[in-house]
Amino acid sequence: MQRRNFNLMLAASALSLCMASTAIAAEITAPLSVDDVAALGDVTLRVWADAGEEAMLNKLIPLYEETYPNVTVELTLKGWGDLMGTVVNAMNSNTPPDVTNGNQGFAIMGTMVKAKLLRQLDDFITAYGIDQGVPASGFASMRWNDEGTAWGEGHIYGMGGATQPLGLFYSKAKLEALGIEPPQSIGDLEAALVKANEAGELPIMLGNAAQYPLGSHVLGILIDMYSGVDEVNAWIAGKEGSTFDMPGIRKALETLKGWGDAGYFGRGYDGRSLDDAVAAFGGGEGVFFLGGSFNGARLAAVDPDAFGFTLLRGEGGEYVTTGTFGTPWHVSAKTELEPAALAFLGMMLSKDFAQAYADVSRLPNANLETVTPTGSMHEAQLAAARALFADGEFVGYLDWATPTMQRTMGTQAQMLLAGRTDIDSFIAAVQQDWEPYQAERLAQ
Amino acid sequence: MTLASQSQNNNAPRQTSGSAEPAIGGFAWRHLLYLAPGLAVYALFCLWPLVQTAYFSFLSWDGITQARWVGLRNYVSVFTNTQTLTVFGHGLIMIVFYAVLPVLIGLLIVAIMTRIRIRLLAMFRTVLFLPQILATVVVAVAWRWIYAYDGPINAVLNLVGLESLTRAWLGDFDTALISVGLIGTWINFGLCMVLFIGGAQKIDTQLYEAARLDGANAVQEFFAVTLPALRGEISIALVLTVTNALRNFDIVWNTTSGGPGTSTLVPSYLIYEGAFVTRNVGFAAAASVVLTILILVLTGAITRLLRSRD
Repeated sequence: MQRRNFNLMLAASALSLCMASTAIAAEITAPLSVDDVAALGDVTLRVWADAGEEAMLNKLIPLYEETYPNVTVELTLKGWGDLMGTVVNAMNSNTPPDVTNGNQGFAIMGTMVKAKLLRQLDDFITAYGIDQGVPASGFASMRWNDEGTAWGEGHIYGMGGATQPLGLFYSKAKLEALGIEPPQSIGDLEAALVKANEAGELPIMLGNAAQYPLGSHVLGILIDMYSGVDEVNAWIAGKEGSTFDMPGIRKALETLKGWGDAGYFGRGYDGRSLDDAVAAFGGGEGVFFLGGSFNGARLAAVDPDAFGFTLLRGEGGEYVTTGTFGTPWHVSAKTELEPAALAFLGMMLSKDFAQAYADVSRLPNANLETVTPTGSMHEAQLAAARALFADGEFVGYLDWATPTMQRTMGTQAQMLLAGRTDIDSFIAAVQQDWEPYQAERLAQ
Repeated sequence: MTLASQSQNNNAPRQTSGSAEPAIGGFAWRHLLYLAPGLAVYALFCLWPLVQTAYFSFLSWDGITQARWVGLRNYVSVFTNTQTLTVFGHGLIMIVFYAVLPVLIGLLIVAIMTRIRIRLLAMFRTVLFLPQILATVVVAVAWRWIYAYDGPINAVLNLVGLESLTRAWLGDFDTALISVGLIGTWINFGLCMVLFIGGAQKIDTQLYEAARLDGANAVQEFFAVTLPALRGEISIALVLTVTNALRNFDIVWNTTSGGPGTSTLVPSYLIYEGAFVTRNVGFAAAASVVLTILILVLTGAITRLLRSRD
C-alpha cells in the first residue's frame, strides 16, 4: 500500500527543489478577471472533492464553465475516508489536482503545508473579500506556521465554503408530545433527556458503528459545555503544558458516562452506522440527535419543517461549539492553472454564490445573514450559525490533536460506555496518544 | 541485493555461451529472453515494492516529507506495543474462522457426499460457492443488516423467547470478533467445498468398495480413503484461506471499522491506518513485513506438513 510512495517521494523532492526556485506564486490584489483566466487558453481544471460537496458543485461547475468558457472542470468525487486516504499523496504527485478538499489538523493539512504542496491563500482571501463578515477566529484552523508543525497562526492555506457547527437536532413532534421546549442550554437538555426517557422514548439517536460520532461529536459538544474554549483549543493545537486532564473534560466524560448508564442512547448503537442513524432519526426514531449541521441536509430532505436545530449555551452562558468554516479547499502549489483555480474558489466562496449553498440546506460563510432558508429546520440552523458568528466561540475538533486521536477517542468512548474503562484510564489513554506525538512535533 | 542477483543470473548464460557450443548457449539465452517480460513485471510490481517496504520499515516517515532513519524502532514498537500484539492475535483468531472452520465444513459436506447421492449437486455447489464471488462490500452490507440490533437474528431470538441474548452483534465487545469471523467462514467454505468435491471425484471408487468390503463404517471410510486423498486440496484450501484470514481488511472496514474499542482491529487495518490515515508509514511498513513473514511461515508450514508423501 505505502510502497508506491517512495517513487513519488523522489519525484516530489526533485520537483519541490525546482518549485522553490521558479514558482514563487504571484500575489493577487484584486479578483481575477475573465481575461486573466482566458489567457490560459483551453485548459482542464482538475478538482477533487468530498462527496458531500456534490450538490453544491453541480450548481457551481456549470456556472463557472459559462463564465470562463476556456476552462473545463474535471471533477473527482470521493467518500470522506477515501479522500483522506489519498489526497496527500495525490497532491504530492507530479499531476496533483489543481483544487482539492482537505482536512484541518496535523495529518492532512499539516503534512501538505510541511511539504509545501499548498498555495498560500492570504492574498486571495483579501482580494476577494472572503474575510469580510466572518469571525477572524474561524481562520485559526486554516493558518499554519511555515514548517507545517503548528496551526493557529501564520499563513492561510485553505478556506471552506459552509460552516459546520455541531449542535442539537430535535424532533418537533416528539418535543411537543412530551411538552418540552427546545433546550437552550446543557441544563435544559439534561432535563429534557430525563423526561424523554421516562416517557419511554429513545432520548438520543446514535449510530456509532464506525467509532464515530460518540467519541468525537457527542463528547465534543459536552466538552464545549463545561470547558474553557481557550484551554481546549490549546490542547487540540498541542500547546506545551496543555493536558486533557481538565475539570471540564472530566465533567463531560462523567456526563457522557451518565447518559450511557441511563440508557439515553438506547441499545445497539455501536452496531448502527451513522447513515442509518440519521435515516432512523429522519424516520421518527429518537427525540434528539447530536451531530454536525452537515447532517441537516438529509433531515431537511425528509421534511424541511419536522426537525429543529440549536446550539447550546455552555455553563458559562455563551454559545460554544465545535465547528469551523467547513471542509477546507486548497489550491495546489504546483498548479499551472493558478488563475483558473483561484477564480474557481473565488466564485465558490463569493456572496453571489452563497444562495446555492443555502438551496441545498447548507450554511454558507458568505452572506450567512441574508440567504433564504429551505425550511424551518434550515432556518434554525442558519440562526444558530449566525449567533455563533456574531458572538459565539469556535472550538476545534478533538481529532485534530494527533493523527491517531480519532481512533483513540472513538475506542475509549465505546469502552467507557461499555464499562470497560473508567474516566481516569480514558484521560490517561488520550494523554498517552497526545504526549509522545506533541513531543516529537515540537522537537522538529 | 535484487539487482546483484539479477546481474549474476544474466551473467550465467553468457559464461556458458563462451565455454560450450554457441548453439546451446544461444538456445538458453533465448529461453531466458522469453522469461524476461514476466520477470520484469514481477520484479517491478512485486519484488521492488517488497524491498521498498522493507526499507521504509526502518524509517520514521509521513510518506511525503523528509524521512528519518530509526533503525529497528518500528519493529520494537510492533513487538512491544500491547495493542499491536492484540491486533496480530485477532489475525490469528481469524484463521480459525476463515480457514479452519471452512475446511472442516467443506470436508463434512464431502464426507456426506461420498456416502449419499445428492440430487441437484451442481445447483447446491453453485449456490454454496456464490459467497466467494460476491463483492465483499455487498457481503458486508448484507451481514451488517443481519447482525443489526433490529435485524433478523435478533428477531428470531425474540420470537423464541431469548430476548436476553439480543444485541447489536457487531457492536458488542463480546461478540463482534466472532461475528466478523463467521462472515469469513460463510465466504470461504464454498471455496473449500468446491475444491474438495473436485478432489473427491478423482478418488477411485474401487477404494471405497474395498473399504466397505473390509467393513469400514462411514467415519472409518472418511479417514482411510477420503481424507488422505484430499491432502493436496486441503493444502491449497488452507494456503488460500489462511492468507485470506491474515490479510482480511474489507470485511472489517465495511462492518466495524475495528470496533467496538479495538475488538475487531486486524493487522491489515492497522497497516492501512498507519500508511494512509495517521501517516506513520515506517510503522505500517514494519507491520507489513511482520505480517508478510507470518503469512510465509504459516503457508510454508502448511504446504510442508501436507505435502504428499509420494
